[in-house]
Amino acid sequence: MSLIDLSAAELVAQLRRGDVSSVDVTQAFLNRIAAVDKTINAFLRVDADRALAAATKIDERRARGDSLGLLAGLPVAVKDVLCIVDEPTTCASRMLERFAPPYDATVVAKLRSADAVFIGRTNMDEFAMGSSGENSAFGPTRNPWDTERITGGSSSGSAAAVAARMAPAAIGSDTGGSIRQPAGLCGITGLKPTYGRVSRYGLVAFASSLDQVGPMARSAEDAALLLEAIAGHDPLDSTSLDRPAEKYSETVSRPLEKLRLGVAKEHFGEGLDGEVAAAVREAIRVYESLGATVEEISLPHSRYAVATYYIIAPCEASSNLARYDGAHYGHRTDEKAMLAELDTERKALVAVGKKEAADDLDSPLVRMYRQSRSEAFGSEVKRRIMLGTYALSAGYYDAYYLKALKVRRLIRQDYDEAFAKVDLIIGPVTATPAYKIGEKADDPLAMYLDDVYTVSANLAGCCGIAFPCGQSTGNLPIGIQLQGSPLDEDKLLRAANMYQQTTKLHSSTPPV
Amino acid sequence: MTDRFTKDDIQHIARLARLQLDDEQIEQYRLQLGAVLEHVQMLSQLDLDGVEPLSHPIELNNRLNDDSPQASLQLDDVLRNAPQLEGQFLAVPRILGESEDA
Repeated sequence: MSLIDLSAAELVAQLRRGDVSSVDVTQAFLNRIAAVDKTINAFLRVDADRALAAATKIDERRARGDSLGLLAGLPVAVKDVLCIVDEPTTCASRMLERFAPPYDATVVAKLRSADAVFIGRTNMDEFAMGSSGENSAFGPTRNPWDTERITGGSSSGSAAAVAARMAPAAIGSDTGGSIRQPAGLCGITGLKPTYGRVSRYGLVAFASSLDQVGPMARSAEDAALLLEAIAGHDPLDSTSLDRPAEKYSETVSRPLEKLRLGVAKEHFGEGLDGEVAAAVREAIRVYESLGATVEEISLPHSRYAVATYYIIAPCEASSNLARYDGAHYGHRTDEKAMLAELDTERKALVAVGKKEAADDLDSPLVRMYRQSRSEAFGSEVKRRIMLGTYALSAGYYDAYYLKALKVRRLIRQDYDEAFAKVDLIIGPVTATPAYKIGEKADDPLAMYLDDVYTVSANLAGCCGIAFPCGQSTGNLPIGIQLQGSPLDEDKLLRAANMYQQTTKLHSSTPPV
Repeated sequence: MTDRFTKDDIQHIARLARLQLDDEQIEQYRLQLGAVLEHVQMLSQLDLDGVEPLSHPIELNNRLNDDSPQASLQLDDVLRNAPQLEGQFLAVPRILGESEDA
């Protein structure tokens, strides 16, 4: 067995015992990246020298007998949405192509103090907006199971890197399914923590009341290790929950007794692919064989979740992305050309007697904003800014934003009622396996509707985990999702681990 | 369903959003935003009288930090990412002496 085939937990154990060095482990994954990432495009940047230098330092400290962190020597891939000091952090956008933040995100600082090795920055849908991985300014990520197909998104590169064994573990972020959905489509394990469980400090903001950072790995056991390293209260994020991180890596192997699973009838309605439905039902039978009881529940407002989400998330995004103004940081248009163009427009209008229209032209400052933003944002980001701007504009706030916030309350109440009866909710994570790249490129609504099983957890602030539960006849991964009450990450991980220890379905590897 | 927005509506939204769109993009967004809002219309089926809006998943309270000085980022480090500087100031196109934007 080669080093890249080992789980993160196994690698950490071998590193701790001194059976392998971090340099050897890091080099093995760097070799794998060099061999396959031309095809997959999971990484935006890999700095092999820097990674090996970090690995060497950890090996030296270990040799000296220093006490080391939880992940000592383990390579970890980081989605390009988290700030790493003095390293480009682009969000896969032209807007931030040359941006290098002056500070570390708290999650990055925690990974550093756990002695992880940063192996590279992963591709994503621009500003984490998208469910396919196609909306990157630097090209789509390809699914390691079938390179003609999408990985899902927005944490596309993190999912593909783990699936293709280019990294033993990765960090993603999830605003409406961006960890769980690509995890499901790439056949890995991805966990969206409870809102506030992991610090958002240094996470480039998309929708601040929905964004969460979380682990993506090959198993629940590995995800537990990573979550333990990044969770916990952070004084720099006033929305982080004032609870210490739990010892997820120690508890993950304990099976849950008398587990009560809820199955929402709304999750098995129209649009769910037959093979996916069958795989999920089979997984439910596995849980029953492990002693779980299954109860039908109802989440009556789940059919409104996509509509609610695609008001709230774009509203928050349009506000958050107002910071990209071409003045503080990020892309700025060529000012000389911009002023000359404005002057030409003005003269043309005056020449035909349209003085009023000439006076109505943008001021140079406003034109600078508009041109800088239009040149650097991709079409999905613009679409969401437009949607949010409209929904928040004078006369429409009550009809859209306020209404959506009320439905959000009802969605949250559905969960509260469900979790009064059951421990976890089990169901699909996507309606179909991965589709072909380009298939939904001209139909954003179709892409948005793909988020039907994942957005509710973000709206309600619950936690969720996705992991593989089978394969389609086309050999594509099929994912399943468990959702839990706020702060029930431990239950999610233990339940997922029970399933994985029994079925071993998580250990299939893609052909790439 | 495609006529929810006119071309002028999209121009207006783009201006509010500080975006500049060409004719092709305007037509594309006119149709696509119309389709998304058509879907969103389903929220009107619900009786929402008396439902409290939920703007945030956790109950937020003001949190006060200790009133003790802490090191902050160095100005030079922060300004390093600015596209255009004049000394320690962010430089922008001339604002005064031009007609104000609507």
